[in-house]
Amino acid sequence: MPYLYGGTILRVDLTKGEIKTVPTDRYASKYVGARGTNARLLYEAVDASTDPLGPENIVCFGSGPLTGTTFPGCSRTDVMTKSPVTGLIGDCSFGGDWSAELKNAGWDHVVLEGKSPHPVYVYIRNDKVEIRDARPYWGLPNYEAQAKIRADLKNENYKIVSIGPAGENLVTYASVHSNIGNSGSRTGIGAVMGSKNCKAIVVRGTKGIAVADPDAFLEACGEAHMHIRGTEAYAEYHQIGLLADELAYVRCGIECGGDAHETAPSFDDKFEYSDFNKRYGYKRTGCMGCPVHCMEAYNVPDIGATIISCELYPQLGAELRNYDERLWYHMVMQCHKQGVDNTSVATILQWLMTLWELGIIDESITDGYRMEWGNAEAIEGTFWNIVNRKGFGDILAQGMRVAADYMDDMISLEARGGQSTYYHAMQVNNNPMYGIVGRFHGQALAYSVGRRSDLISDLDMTEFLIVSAPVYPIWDDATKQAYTEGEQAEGLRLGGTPEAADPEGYKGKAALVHDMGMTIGLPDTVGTCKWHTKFLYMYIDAPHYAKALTAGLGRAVSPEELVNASLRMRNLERALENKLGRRRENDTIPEKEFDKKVAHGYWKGKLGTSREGLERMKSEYYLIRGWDLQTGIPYKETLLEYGLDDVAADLASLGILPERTETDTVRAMKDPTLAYILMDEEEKRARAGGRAAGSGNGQKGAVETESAVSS
Amino acid sequence: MAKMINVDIEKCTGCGVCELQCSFRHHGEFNPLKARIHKTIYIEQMMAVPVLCRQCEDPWCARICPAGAITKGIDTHSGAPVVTVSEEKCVGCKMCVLACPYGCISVGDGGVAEKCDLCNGVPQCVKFCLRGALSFSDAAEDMLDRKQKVADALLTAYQEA
Repeated sequence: MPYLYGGTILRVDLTKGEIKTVPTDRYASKYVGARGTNARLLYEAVDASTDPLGPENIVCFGSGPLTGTTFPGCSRTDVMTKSPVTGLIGDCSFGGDWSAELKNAGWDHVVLEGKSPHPVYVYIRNDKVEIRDARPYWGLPNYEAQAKIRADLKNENYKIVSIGPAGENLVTYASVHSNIGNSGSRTGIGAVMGSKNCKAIVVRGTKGIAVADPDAFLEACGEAHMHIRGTEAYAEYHQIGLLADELAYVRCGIECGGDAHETAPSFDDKFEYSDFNKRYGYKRTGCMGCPVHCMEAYNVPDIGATIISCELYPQLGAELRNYDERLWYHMVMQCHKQGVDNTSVATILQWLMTLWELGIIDESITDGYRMEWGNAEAIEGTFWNIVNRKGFGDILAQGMRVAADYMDDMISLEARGGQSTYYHAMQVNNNPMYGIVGRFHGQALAYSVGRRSDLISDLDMTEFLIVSAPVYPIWDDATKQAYTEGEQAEGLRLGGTPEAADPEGYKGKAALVHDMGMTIGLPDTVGTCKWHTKFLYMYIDAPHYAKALTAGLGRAVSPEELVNASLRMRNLERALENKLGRRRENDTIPEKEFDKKVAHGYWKGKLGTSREGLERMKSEYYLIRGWDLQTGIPYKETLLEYGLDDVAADLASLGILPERTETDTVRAMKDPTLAYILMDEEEKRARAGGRAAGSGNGQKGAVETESAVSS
Repeated sequence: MAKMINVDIEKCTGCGVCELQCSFRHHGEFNPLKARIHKTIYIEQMMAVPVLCRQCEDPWCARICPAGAITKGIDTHSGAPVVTVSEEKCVGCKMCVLACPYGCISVGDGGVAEKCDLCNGVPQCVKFCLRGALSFSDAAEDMLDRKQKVADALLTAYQEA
């Protein structure tokens, strides 16, 4: 057994009932593991013609080399597929203990292919792999299905990832779920599993994970643990989790500052999550081997126990002006149980409520429900119709695009105010968004260029901190100032200009977003949690991972090598998304969000992202990434630099591979702080009417796009 | 009273770092099955309960051992009572496995009985238990802490009343 790896990738062909194995090393030497290897497996399997819900799509579950060890945050499973929501990459990561068990069974990845003729689950006990009948479990919610499978196997130690009824019913934004609250929710992975008639993957592994140099490895892990425990962020998250963060985000308007509150009387202090936490929270909890424990366990009488953390707080609550905390809690729990993405459900309900408020839709469309803000009956009724694919819920289950087309057919253009109902949908490439974050500049960029039409993987946490610090609930003024100044310095260091950390600015933000994407790529490839990096201000970085991998693998692994692997993965993912149809124009926020001010909270009436501003940030971002400014596709030279020669050849054969014709991007890639200066010069040249020296198609295109927009 | 590994169930999150550390120290690999501490997770209730050797006053494993390999003594590093297995004397008959009511002794790949040995006075499971569910402390002192928790609750109730 190779050090740190299980050694083998398991491929399960559900059509033929065949089991195949592939050595992990074929991928791991270049892509490290987890999201990196998954991206490669997916690249080899799908193209633009692949039907996401057809048997030709695949679902890859993966662990990384540090998964299942004592390195902090060792619990992550990355899941990748072609998304039925966006038609692009669908990718999620969930915690718990599933992938550690998988690796203990000797497998690094599981790839599901084909489609079973009847419901099955994949059973793995070390080397023994079987495709078993899942008909007794079909239709059961996640919690119950997992409990029944464990009971039937007469062993509580099986780790299970499963889909709920929503996944079985092919609700396009269905999730996969493990244990209680460990959910891979976004981009519809549950629907793809459902389309394959695969209810669950059940794993028990007892083989153990070996390391080359136990003493050095233990030291590296201990160092990382101590590093995390030394940060101020740890002290807070360990004690109260993400609750204070969430309250700050709600109060500053980055969450709940959107459509729901445009016309609302102030809802400040109306929804006090910390009070709920005091009454019903009974302990803090977390994933395997994690020092942080970011989740809150709740037990509410007559509803039951579940875990709530992070953005689950506002979404089905204040985002819908739903202030009934029991209803909100019940809905979050049902999202877990039925296996559907909380964010998507909340955003779709919010969309319907906006349309209702504007008088565009009425009961004749919504199955008789009055979609008024906070209407309990409408929220719950529509939810069950979506999960069970009944009436209008059947349309909504197919996603926002399909639902918009349906409503557009039913409603006259005049009644719609001359707009498609899709205009009001908060989505990026059809993926329902988290609230209104697009009104904040850095997040607008992160959302636009995000690799799964989502912001969580390239985020601007500098901006998150600076906009929320003034209303952070547990900090005194000195702390607020210290944190803000710290992040301003970080903005200057990475972006090259103070504007990078200015919420009102645009310049230099691309460098921050790029740096965060690169940093997050590290834990995503080694199979640990991104929360521990600078993402949540705990600053585990490439040297920590490199030290642990060097000790664990018994060969020198440099931090640069890992950063390179992270960038390679990102370019591979981008190339795949381009192959599936994504271009510069798809990197955007909803049309209606441009120039719209924050509607509530500390930033009320301020900020808002302009179209020119976003285009400017995107150009800087592409420069730093080495992507073509006109199309947003990685240059041939960029792909070659990261050893993706075959990917370059593949894009060339499709006729979409751009070649670099200028040198700006080379400079920006080496030093991202130059990006804003280079774009300044470019804009100056464009204004002067002259064509930039050595400007290629990309450069010209970008300038033309920008001037067209600003005119 | 002397030191022992105490468990505060209320604090345990079931993160399993104790199992990983234990198996790593004793076997050089991360394998919860080989760990000498085991947390049972109650998924629906989201609770976890770690179980490990209690270092009994009158250990059944020692009493039943036909080879005289298991003895009760004092750990020289920490002064804590500890039940130890002599690898030289153990013949791998597994009588101790049958005898232990806690399931906290087993015979592994090495062919000899394995159990918690308090890691030379610095139990690794305790060292890495980040929510403080495990503590290596004087049991009587530890119970005082719990009594204080009850007292705190009583005081609060009294003051609110």
